[in-house]
Amino acid sequence: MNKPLKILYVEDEESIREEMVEILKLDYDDVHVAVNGEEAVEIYKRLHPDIVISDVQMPIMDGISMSKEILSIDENAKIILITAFNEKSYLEETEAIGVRSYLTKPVNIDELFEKIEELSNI
Amino acid sequence: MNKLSILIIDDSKLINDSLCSSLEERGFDVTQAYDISTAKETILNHSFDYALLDLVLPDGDGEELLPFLQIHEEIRVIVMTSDRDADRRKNLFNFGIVIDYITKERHFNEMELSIVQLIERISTNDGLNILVVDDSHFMRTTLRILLSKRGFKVFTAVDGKEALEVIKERKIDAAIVDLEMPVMDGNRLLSAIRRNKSNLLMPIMIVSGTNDPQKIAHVIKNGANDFIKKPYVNEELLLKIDKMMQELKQQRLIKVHEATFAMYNKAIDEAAILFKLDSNLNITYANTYLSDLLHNSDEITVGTNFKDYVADGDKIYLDPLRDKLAKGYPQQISFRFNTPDAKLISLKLTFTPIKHNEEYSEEILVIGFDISLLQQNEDLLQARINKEVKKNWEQNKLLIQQSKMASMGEMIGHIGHQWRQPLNSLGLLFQKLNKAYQKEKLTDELMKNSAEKAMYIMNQMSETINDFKDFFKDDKSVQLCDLTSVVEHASSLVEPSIEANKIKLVINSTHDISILCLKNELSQVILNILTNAMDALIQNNVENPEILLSIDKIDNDATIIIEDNAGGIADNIIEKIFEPYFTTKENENGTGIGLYMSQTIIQKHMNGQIKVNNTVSGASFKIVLPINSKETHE
Repeated sequence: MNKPLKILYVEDEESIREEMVEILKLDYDDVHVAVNGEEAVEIYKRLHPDIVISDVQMPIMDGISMSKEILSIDENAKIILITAFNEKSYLEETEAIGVRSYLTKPVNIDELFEKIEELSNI
Repeated sequence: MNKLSILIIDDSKLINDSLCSSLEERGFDVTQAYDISTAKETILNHSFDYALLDLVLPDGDGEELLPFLQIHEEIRVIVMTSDRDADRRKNLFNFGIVIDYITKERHFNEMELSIVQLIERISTNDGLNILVVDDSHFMRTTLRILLSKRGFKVFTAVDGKEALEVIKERKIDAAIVDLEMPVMDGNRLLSAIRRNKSNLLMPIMIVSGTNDPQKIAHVIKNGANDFIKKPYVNEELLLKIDKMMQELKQQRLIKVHEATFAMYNKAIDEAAILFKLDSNLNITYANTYLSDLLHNSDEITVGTNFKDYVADGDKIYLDPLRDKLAKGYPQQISFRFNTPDAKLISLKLTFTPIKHNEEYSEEILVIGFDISLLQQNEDLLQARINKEVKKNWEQNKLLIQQSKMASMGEMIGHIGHQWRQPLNSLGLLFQKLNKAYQKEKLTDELMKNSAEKAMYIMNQMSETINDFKDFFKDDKSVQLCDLTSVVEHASSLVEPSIEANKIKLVINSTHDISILCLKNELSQVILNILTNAMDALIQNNVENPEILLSIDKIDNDATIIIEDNAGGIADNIIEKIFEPYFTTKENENGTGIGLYMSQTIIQKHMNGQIKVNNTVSGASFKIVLPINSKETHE
């Protein structure tokens, strides 16, 4: 029951990125990846994915700066941030700029899929 | 003591000047005159102890000065002349004020020496009392004048009876006695004097006109020291008296030396061990001190052998000692002695081979001290030091333990960072399998790949544990290590934490440096400094935080510099940061041991140096390690 959702997944750590892509591809066909915020912004400009799922801590451009950039391009962008527990304080800032949702590490896949469904239905 | 003043009256400028300078050198106060008239003037204006008078002077005969000098009674006149005329000599002596006569024909040095000896003799006569016993008034007066000028104090008596009274009341050092006298003659007086034991050694000269050799022999037998026959010339009498008195002075000097020596002897005997040995180390003399120590009487100690008392452990020193002594070298050695009550005493002994006629005899003098008590104190002190050292060591061990616990806490933090990613990966992997299974998409391939991946991740994780476990192992000994890889390995342990805090870590290494080091201990130091830098960067919320680690080689030293840009260490504490229990992190469970331990490791275990200073942007720690250090870990 594949849905025509276009997803952009942003993660700098290769092993995690690989796992997550495999998982996402179990449900979604159109999955794109970026290894940092800067690359993600570029891809977003080109592909306008329906949903962006991103790690917060990344080199070159972190998840929060990336979110700001993307939201400045498309204020309706749907972004889910994945963060380590101790990065939670950032999230007050992210909510203020319009990030829709966040998950804490270690990621619960069911929860992630629920969030994706939730956002895709808006 | 006042300087003796001398007036030289001689027209020969050479003799006058030479005498003047040599007498001045000997400490006399010298005035010079070249003729009778200047001499007179000088005598009027100054007082002199002695006058050296040349008889041949340009403005007349030196003898013309004698009546003038006679007025100034305190002046003693020494006549210098080349004139050997016996009558003139006799005359001059008879004049009374002339006390000696030096012939100028002698070599100048001899003449000068005679003058000095004469003056010395006269000054030592000072305080000596001579008794003149003669029934002739003329003789008494003549002798009084002559002898007074010679420096003696003169007493007189008219006969033997009066003489005995004077001797009883005064301290009389010597006597000149006329043999033929009324009331009590010389012989009887002589016997009476000698009867008193304290006067046995009093020098006595007998004066007599007798020609009878029997009589003279009798006088000598009776105890006279010398005899002079009347008529005599004064010069002869004075020479004889001088000789007699010189002997007395020498006897007295010997007595003084003997008394001093006896005093030293007694002092040594009371204060120290004193004994003598022959070349076979047999004891030939032992003082009470030694005998008391060995609980023996002197007689028993003497005849025993030194070896028998020496404790078994010290007997090995005996043969080398004998060798050295045989060659005439004095030796100082501490020996432990066995005493009859089975107690050990320590003696510090000085062995001196005694020289007789330029050859070493078989006699060895030994002086020593009982140092048992000192030794005891020393042992006690040593025991106390050992105790303190042990205590210190235990304290240090505790410190090391504490520091390990502290770094253990840090390590757990570091492991946490290391494991966060793999744990996340594993979590995702299992969820993926579950999801795939639920969606009936779990293929054989996916299962196999996932299992392999999971094993790979878990292997990595257990490697991390091994790394940290190694780190806490004690280094058994120094190893030859590549410094860069040790430092890089240590850094890799904290790298995840550093990265998690967005800190840039740069490692610069330009040389391959092989160094003997304690790998884990050095790693601990690197880790400690890196962690401190990291904490400071986080605490101060530094923009673009950075740690720069450089490894370099300067001459025979390897240097490791770790710099951060966290703003540096406050001036008031930078001196204290290596002190134990000094911490700036009381609220964060800082123990204040890390840098103290780092310093201990670098300085004491690896013979290096660790220093800190502030740079423009932060703190800089510099570790210097000697590349050829052979130091080993105790």
